[in-house]
Amino acid sequence: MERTDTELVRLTRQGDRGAFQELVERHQRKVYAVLLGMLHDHDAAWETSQETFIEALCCLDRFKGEASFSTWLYRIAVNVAIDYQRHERHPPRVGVADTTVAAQSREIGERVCAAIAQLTPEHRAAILLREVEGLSYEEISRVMECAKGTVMSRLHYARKKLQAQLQDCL
Amino acid sequence: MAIAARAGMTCREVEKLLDLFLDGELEARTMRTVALHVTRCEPCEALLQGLERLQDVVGDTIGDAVAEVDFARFWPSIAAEVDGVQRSWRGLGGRVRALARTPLVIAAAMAAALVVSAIALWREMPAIPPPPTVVNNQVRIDTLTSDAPAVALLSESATNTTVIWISEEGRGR
Repeated sequence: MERTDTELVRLTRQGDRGAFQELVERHQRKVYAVLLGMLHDHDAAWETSQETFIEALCCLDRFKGEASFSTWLYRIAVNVAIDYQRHERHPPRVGVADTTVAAQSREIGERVCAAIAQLTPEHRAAILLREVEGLSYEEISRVMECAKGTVMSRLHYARKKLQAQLQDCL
Repeated sequence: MAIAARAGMTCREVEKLLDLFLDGELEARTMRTVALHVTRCEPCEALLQGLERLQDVVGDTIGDAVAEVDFARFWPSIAAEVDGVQRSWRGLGGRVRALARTPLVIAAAMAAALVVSAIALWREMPAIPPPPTVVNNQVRIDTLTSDAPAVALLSESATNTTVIWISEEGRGR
């Protein structure tokens, strides 16, 4: 039977390396997807994903289990991405490079990335957590530590802006 | 979201709810009302389809890009750092961490912090000046005779003060 995240967190706290490996392998794609959407660069997404898991391990004592482990992890990932851009002064790059998808969908992909890159980090995080990860408003509000109403308005604004920019390819 | 549903919603009202409808964040009754409106109203249906296409294109773009990443290298690339963190737990940090979880230690730490704060506060307080020395000016009252209607005697030993209060009331003064 698959062990729950809570069980794996408990074992990790006791020093079980394998338990943390299981947690990482279970959540690495989701964390990477949000960070790729936030930063639009594979190298940056890889680096910040690593940072997210190491930071999660270092402050595992602060995880109280009030929210799910993945929600807690997303919160760290979003903060890591915002810090990465603010302090390291890395503007979001446009285009997800090195993909082998067909030219047409690559072009659409690049335009989508360019449009997402123009959103503020908060709007970008909200739209990615919703459209890519499928989180509910309640979960997004926990990740972003804001009210549900704020999530609602951020999503509405982000969608309007993306639709305006991608009008001809939607 | 608790938004009241009305049977005959206008396009303007429905338009405001389309995000919540798409995300399944409306109450069941309002979901039904919006769904019913959308199936009968072409402009609102087009707006909803636009939101759905946006959802698909964002999800697909990121999903496709992540699908091509080889995660086999991910764990090995952080394993050494993970070992370092866990080793530090087992060392002094680990013992402190383990100790910090015991209620007795937490209580003792709080008590110690309280004592240290109290000492620091006491040191910062200005020194209380000693009471003035009274040298040979003590008076002993054995009897007190007065035609006043009232006499009161108030003595406070802490400040070496004695007040004799004689009422002048009723004397026209």
